Amino acid sequence: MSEPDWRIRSGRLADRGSLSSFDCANPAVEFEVEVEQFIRTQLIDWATAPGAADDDPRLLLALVRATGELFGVAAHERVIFQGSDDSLFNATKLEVAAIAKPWQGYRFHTGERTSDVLMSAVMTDVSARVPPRDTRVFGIVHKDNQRSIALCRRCGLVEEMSSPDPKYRRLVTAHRPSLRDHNRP
Amino acid sequence: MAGQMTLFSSLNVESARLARLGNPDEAARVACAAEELEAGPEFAKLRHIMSYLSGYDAQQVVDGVLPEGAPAELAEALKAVARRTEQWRTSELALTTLAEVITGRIAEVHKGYVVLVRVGGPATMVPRWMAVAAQRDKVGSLLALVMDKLDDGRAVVEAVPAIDVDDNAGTGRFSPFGRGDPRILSLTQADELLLAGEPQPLRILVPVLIEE
Repeated sequence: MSEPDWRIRSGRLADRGSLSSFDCANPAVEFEVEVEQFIRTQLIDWATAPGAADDDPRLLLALVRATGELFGVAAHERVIFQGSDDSLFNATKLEVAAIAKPWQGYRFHTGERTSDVLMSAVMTDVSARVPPRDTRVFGIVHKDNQRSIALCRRCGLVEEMSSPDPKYRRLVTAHRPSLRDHNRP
Repeated sequence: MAGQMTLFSSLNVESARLARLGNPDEAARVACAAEELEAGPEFAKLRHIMSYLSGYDAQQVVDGVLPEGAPAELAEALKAVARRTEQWRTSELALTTLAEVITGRIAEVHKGYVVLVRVGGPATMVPRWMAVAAQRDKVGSLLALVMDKLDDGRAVVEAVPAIDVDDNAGTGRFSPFGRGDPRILSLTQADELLLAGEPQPLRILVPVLIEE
C-alpha cells in the first residue's frame, strides 16, 4: 500500500517559526483572524506550558509528504467539566483546527479532504492517548463559521451544548441518552 | 412596535427613589436628566433599531437579554445608552449615597447560589433565584446588585442585568482559546443531562498515523 500524500506529526518547540507565519485567515473575517492569531502567537506556548502537562495538551501538524509544507494545525487537551452537584465529566477540548489558505477545500489525489485528514488525526490521537481519554470531544466555534460547523458535524460533533458566549457555539460528540435521571440524588 | 412599547431611561427609577426618600428637588433634576437622555441621539438610535424587532425580542432586550440573531448595532446602541446613563448617574452625587451598586461577573453557579466576582475585587454569593430572575444565571454573565438602604440594619437588594460598556479595554471579551475563561467549561442542567449519557465512539473518516 502506497503512503498517503500527507503525514501527521506532533508539534514541538522548534515549530514556533513555521506556526508564526501560518496563514489560514481572510483578513476581513474577524473569527478567522482570531484563529490565525492564536496559532501564530500563542499555540506553542499553550502546548508547552509547564503547568498544563496534566491536561496532556497535544499539538498536531499536518504536512504535505513530498514537500514538507504545513497545510494544517490542530490541538486538543484533556479537560474536566464539573456539574452543579459536583459530578465530573471527562472530555477533550478541541482547542483549534485550521487549514492553511491554499489548502482549504482541497482534496488529495486519493479523494480525501485536507480538513477530514486533520480532524481524523485529532480523533485518532484522542483515541490513542494513555491514560485513555473519554470519547467525548467538544469544540467552540464562532456561530458564523459555517465551514467549521459543517466540518465538526461531519466528524461527529453533532450535539449542541449551551453557548459560552452569544457569538460562539459549543459542539460535542454524540452521547447515548442516560437511562437514569442524572440529577436525581 | 410604535404604540406597543415605550422605552424609558432607568434614571426615572432613580428619580422615583429620590422622591420616595424625600429629595424632591434632586428627584426633579434627575427626572429632567432622564427626559434629556430619552430625547438624545443614543436613545433615538436604540428606539429605531428596536422598532424592527418583534414584540418578544423587544421585551427580551428590556429584560436584559440580547436576542439570538440581533443586529450588532443593537448591542452598540445599548452600550451607548448605558454609557450616557452612567455619565448622568455619576454626575449626580446624591445617587451614589442612595443606592450602592455592586457589579460583577458570575464566576460559579451552584444549586442554591451563584458567585459574583467584582472586576478587580472580591466575590460575593448571590441567591441563584435572584440571578435567574435577572436572566444572568450563567457563568460569565454580568450582573448588578442595586442595594437600597432602608436603615442601618436593613436594605432592599435588586438583581438587575448588566452589560459591558467598556469595549476598548477588552475586558470580559470571550475567547474560545486558552484555559482562563470559566465560560469554556460552564455547564447548564441541559448540558449535564447530555454529558451524563454514554459517549459514542469517535468518528474517524480517514485512517491516519501520528508520528511523534
